[in-house]
Amino acid sequence: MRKWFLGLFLLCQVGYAQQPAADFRDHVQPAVFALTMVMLHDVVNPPAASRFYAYSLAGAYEIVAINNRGIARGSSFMKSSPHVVINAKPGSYNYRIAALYCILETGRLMLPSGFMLEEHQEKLLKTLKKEKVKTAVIDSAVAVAKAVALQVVNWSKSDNYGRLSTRLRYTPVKGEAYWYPTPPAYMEAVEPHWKIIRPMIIDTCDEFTPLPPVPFSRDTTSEFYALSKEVYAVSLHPSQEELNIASFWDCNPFAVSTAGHMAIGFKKITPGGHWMNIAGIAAEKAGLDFDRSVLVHTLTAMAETDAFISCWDEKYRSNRIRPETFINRYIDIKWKPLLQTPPFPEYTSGHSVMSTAAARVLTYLLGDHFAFTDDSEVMFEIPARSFSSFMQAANEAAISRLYGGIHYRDAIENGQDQGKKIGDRIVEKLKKAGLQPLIP
Amino acid sequence: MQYQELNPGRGYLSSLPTNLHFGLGTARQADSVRIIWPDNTTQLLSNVAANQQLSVDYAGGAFTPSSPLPKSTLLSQKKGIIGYKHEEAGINDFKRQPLMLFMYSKTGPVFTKGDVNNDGLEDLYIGSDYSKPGRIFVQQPSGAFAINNNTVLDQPDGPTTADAAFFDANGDGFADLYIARGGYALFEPNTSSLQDALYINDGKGNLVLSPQALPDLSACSKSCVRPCDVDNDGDIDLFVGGRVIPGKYPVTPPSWLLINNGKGEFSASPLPVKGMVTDAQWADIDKDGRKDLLLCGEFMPVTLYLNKPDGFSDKTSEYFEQMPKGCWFSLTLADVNGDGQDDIIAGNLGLNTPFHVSEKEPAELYYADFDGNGSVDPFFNCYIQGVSYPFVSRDELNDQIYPMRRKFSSYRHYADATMKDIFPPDELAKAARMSITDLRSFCFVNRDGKFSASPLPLEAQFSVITKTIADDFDHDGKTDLLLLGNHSDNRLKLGSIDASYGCLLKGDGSGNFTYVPPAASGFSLAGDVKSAGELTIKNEKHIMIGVNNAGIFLYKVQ
Repeated sequence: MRKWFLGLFLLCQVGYAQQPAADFRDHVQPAVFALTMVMLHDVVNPPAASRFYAYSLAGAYEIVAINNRGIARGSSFMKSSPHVVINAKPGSYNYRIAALYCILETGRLMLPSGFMLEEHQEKLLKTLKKEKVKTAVIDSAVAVAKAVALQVVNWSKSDNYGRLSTRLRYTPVKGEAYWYPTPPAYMEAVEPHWKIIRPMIIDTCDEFTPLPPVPFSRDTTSEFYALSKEVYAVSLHPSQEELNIASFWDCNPFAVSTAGHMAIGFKKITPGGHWMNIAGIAAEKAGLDFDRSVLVHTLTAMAETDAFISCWDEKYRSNRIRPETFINRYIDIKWKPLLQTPPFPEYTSGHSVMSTAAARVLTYLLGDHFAFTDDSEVMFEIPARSFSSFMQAANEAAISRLYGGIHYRDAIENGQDQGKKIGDRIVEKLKKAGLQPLIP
Repeated sequence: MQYQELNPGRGYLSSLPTNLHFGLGTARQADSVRIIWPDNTTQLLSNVAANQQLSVDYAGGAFTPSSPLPKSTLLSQKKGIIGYKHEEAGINDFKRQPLMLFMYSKTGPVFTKGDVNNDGLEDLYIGSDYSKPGRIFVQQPSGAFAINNNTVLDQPDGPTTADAAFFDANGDGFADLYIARGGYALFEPNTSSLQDALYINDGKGNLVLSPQALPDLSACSKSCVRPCDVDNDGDIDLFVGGRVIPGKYPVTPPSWLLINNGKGEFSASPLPVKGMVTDAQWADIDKDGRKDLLLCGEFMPVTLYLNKPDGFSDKTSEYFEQMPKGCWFSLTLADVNGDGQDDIIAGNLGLNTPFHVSEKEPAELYYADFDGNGSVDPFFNCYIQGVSYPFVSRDELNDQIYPMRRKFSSYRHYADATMKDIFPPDELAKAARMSITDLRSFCFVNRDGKFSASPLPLEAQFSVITKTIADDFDHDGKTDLLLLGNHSDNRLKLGSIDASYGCLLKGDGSGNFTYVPPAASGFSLAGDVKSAGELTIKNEKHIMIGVNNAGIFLYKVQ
């Protein structure tokens, strides 16, 4: 089948237009968003996207931590850290410019279409010059950034990403209980071996194995049938609010729409990309300075990365059938879910695990009742939504998968539990490393 | 002469136009237009003017058969004698190494003949498949075959049998059985699933495993076992050809020379063989009384190793005027010109493939662990309009080496890429290289001790030749050839090579062959032929052919 890639490029360069504060805090979110736009172009899948965010921010975080004694080095809470060494003495270079540039430089070196970030790098330097930053200051910071980015890339090579292609390609497990490629594109399973990727902060992929899923059954009186029936029933008479919630948290990087022989891919930001945006919105609303903004972005990215590794480990352990497949086989042959079923096994719900893990970390850093308005999906013509807390947003993201018809309730609830445990373990490690909440 | 074929049916709900266009250039008319209809009748129109649309009706004109149908065919299919159906496991080897050209799992059905009970009748071993164990089929005086229930040689869905041979290992006058393990699947090198097995005959026609008889031969998947008394000491020794190392294609697998101590116990002796061996034969080429080894394989020439008391050495160039590197699948010895010397029929991949090769523009295979992730990265290259391009698509490249997503961020960037664009010179330098310079199947005729190469006729190049049976099928005293083959389980981009229905070539006694159409040969068999041989049933000569995932078929020679 021919794929027609239709990118929805509504370039929202939020930060650059504004007059930046002296500490460059307003440049952090646009730099991360630049990564998002490249990943949108490349159709990076959700687990891979989280990994790219984490590595792209890890060098910036280390630069900040080396220069700000109030911020713990990664090695004090990470499973493995890049052990960044900067030859220039602290104070001899502008570390914030270096950190900013390092985000783009690491992304440039690692992302498939990383070259697209060169434009952002040039734009950043131009803006800095406009802000009367001396060329020598820029040059020394860029040199530090490039050296650190190389160290990060080198460190990334030991995380088993390169070994994914040495694994046996996935074959759907035989049997009616198991996942099978879903309409309309019947894409092959995404990242079946992702569990081999080294986590950022948690110890192992199976440290937080969720409860086993409700066992498969076709029996109409069974618990599993009831779960399927619930997905089906919700889809028949959805409320407007349920529809809004489902589409707001869709976050499918490549939904394929077919018309005859033509297939068009509609791109969106991944779940991880969505939460990177939330981190940016929160950092701005909280008025965090540059260093703390980098910290919030980095820890969100690392929580996402670990959540996906843990979730993907379970997905290919249980290999559970998607509601679309079950409902089409046993309830209604013509049923289509509201959202397009993503191409990987059902249990647990990735968005539930990841959103909850990220929300737990953000809650620790910025507080329990941090209200915010999330306009991340406005670029896809989906209106902003307001939340009273990170956990409220995460809970909504989780249940959105039921409204969208792509997950059973137990995959959502047990996924939330899995995400909570991951987030809590990360918070525990941060506390041990002496990282205090940013808003006491 | 111009020739066009019309078949309007094509694909689901599609059709081709039903007009054919012949360009006559400056000619004002065609002397004759001959139409051959699907029922093999012909219609002749003469002096047809140019620049017109000709409508031809099937009903019009006078009909004469294009060629008289033969009264009897040379071969005729016989049904129901063995009634063996073969079931393949259906494993996809490309899940393990996506960049191979072929799958290696499908080796069956494997059979070999021998007289296990010394009653003068030929018996059979037929190897295991997905649902059946390997068995001995004992020929009864009636011509029926009875399964020997005392002997179960290998388990269903277990290790893969690649080849087998009956020979007397311990000199007791009874046929023993060697089973060579092969396949690919999920087998790991150096595990028991790739260890060959020797079964010793108990003197009553039952075969019993002799567990200590063989050295460790589990380093790779094998293709063939060829018994021969190599050292002229009176006992039978063996050549065992290495086909592929599962998971490590195309790294060269070992091949073995196994020397018999006279008691049916074997030790490995060094052999300088290098390559993925597909077939081998023993023949005394230099007439010194010691059998020499001929072998062939993928990405290698047909190679001759002369057998001397001090060892084997490659003397191919001294005996062959011209020896291309091919993707050879089979070697058969036969005397095609009646001079009493062995000639060689070498089956190659054939010309019905999407790539074309020559001495000047060879197909090349580069391999190395380019990205250092522990897996072999094989890159097949072939020429298109004078430039050698990698056969892999960008998607396949990205799937093999993840960081390549960065190198070629679009299909456009990859479209014109060669190996030099994909890898820097230092990485390319560490890659091993193999090549193919000819895809045609050949007959190498031994003339005064040297072999001259002549390609087999075009009809023989339609498909892979995996087996050849040489015999005088038309009883004119000259050797004819029955070429069998096909290879369906190939990389998607290569497509199934399955155009052979068996190709009978009539020999003229001097090394030339002409194609005999199926209507005259009586032979038409679809599918991938994995085994073939002649078998005498009730004193009548039969040809026995094993087709993958289908069964074993018998043809009677008239």
